[in-house]
Amino acid sequence: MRHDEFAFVIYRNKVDTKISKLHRMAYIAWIRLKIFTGYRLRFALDILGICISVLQYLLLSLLANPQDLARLGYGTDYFAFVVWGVALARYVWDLVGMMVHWVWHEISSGTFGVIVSTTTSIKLWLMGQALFSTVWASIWFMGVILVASLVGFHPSLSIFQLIQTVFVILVMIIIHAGIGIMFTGISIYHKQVDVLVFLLAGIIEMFGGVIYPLSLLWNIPVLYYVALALPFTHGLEIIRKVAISGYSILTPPLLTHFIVLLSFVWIIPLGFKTVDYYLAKARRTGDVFSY
Amino acid sequence: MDAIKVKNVVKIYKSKRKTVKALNGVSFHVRKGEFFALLGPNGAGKTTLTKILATILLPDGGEVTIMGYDVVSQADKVRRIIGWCEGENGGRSLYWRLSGIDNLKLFAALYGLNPRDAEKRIWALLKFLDLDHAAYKLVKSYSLGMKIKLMLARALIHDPEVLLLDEPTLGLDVESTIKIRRFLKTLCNEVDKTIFFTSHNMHEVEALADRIAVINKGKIIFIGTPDELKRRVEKFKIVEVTLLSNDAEEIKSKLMKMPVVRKILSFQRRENTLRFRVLVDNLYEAISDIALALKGYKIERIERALPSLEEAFLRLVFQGEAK
Ligand SMILES: Nc1ncnc2c1ncn2[C@@H]1O[C@H](COP(=O)(O)OP(=O)(O)OP(=O)(O)O)[C@@H](O)[C@H]1O
Ligand SMILES: [Mg+2]
Repeated sequence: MRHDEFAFVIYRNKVDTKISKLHRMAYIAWIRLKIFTGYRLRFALDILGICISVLQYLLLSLLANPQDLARLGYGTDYFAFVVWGVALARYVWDLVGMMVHWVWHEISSGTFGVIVSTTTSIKLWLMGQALFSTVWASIWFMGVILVASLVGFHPSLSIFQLIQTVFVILVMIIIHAGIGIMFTGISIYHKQVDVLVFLLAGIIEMFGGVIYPLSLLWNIPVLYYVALALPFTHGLEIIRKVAISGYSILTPPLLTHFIVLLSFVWIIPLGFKTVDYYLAKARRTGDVFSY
Repeated sequence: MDAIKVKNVVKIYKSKRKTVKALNGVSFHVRKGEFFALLGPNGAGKTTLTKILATILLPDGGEVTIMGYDVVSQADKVRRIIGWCEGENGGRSLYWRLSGIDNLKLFAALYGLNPRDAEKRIWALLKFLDLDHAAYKLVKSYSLGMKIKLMLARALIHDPEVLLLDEPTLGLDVESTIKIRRFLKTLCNEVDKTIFFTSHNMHEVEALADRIAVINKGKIIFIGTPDELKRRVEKFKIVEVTLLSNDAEEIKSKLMKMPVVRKILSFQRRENTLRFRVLVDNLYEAISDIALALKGYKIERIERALPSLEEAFLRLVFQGEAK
């Protein structure tokens, strides 16, 4: 190419910078997917992971006592009880874990710093990461449901139940994306924060009522209050009662849970504040590029 | 108009054990359309300064503006008009698992370019940099030279007015270096970009830059044209003597006694050869005098040597102090 031709394309055609933020966000998520599927073994292991965890809980369900569950208002099917718990716990764990994993990947491979120097704000970029992680975690979630249905999980939801379930899941996911943004914000300055993800997953599994009913925790009130402090607990409780037992979200106890769940939306602005805080700090200390 | 204004910039890295004053009151201006080089040895503060210009590091004091926008309070506006490329990381900041073209498309999107314009610009850049044949290959299969070219293309994707290039030719072979230099020269001369370029290679910068600033230990110790720098440094006359001997001390004292010798700059021993670099007042007088003084030794070579950057700094610093 001759110099003058080059100059014509590069210089004389002024660039048009008009694409919307949504467009950018979607592109960021798309590129993330492209990179992810490039790591084939990781991809295959994820699929294997779905099968293993479902089978694990199938075995566990054989040990449970149906009468106890029925008495507590969750139907007699412990497997259904536990599949909802596990699938949702994995859903939010995957969402947060994916975000932290890939943002860390960018920090340690040095692309993060260059992105800071572009006109796309890191907050928008993180929303792109959250979008990808949500899509991926949703596929995972449906994978768990699918594998479980092959081994005896047969949820039969009316349209009304389905709409309520999807709606509550959506609220839960958005709140947990806020937690993901907060964690990635911390990782901008403190770098490795995988432990936070494990901690979150552990707390959710222990206190969120994933494998045993929330009300069992009532025997140890301190734990019960820990459970109530997690948005996950409230979301799971509603979904089980709606999807398994057919309650409406408008019945008073479920409505209370739902209002509490909604009140956790403050996590989202807090997440963005955390990003601002730690990005400014990393820019001051020269740690945008370090890992 | 000035494209870049840097005034009294201070940057201090603090850690528990020690604090490093990486920039200690740096000031200079870069004119619009100028090819400006910042020259300095390792650890001088070049990368620190470039990162401040690129808005990813915040200064602790002073003022920096690019095209009139403040890099701290108007970082968004600055980001639109700068393109930043760091050669130091050897292409680490690219997406190795994506093709060259996907890398560029992503950054085009991050700068908000509409896809049709982006496509045109991307191909023009790839062709111009001889990367079009590798456009669809994954970056992990690129050579270092190709990666650096891709980083340059990325820095240009949004048509920035000011290019910030931190040692973009580091680790390249001669041919690639020449190509990249020619490319940069074109950008500056034909499409009127302002280029801020850092290097620790004085001879590289001499050929390219309109003006040069020399930085050492966080302070600017010289600003001027390459000719001015050359004139300063040329006053600095060095003779290098290589001889077969083990008698380092004796030779040293002989050299020191000579009136034409000002200072022994360095001394190396390799097996049984010794090499001295000597600062002298008069080059030709010195060469014959040294040959005479070391008569009887097995002299392999006596020759004029070009000052290394560090030696040139000694000179600049020395002059600064003498004033
Ligand atoms: N993140 C950091 N934390 C602490 N000290 C730092 C950091 N980055 C750089 N420094 C220190 O600041 C000084 C200037 O470093 P800088 O990287 O700017 O030098 P440079 O001129 O780019 O050198 P080189 O030619 O080796 O690239 C050095 O003493 C370096 O050790
Ligand atoms: Mg450097």
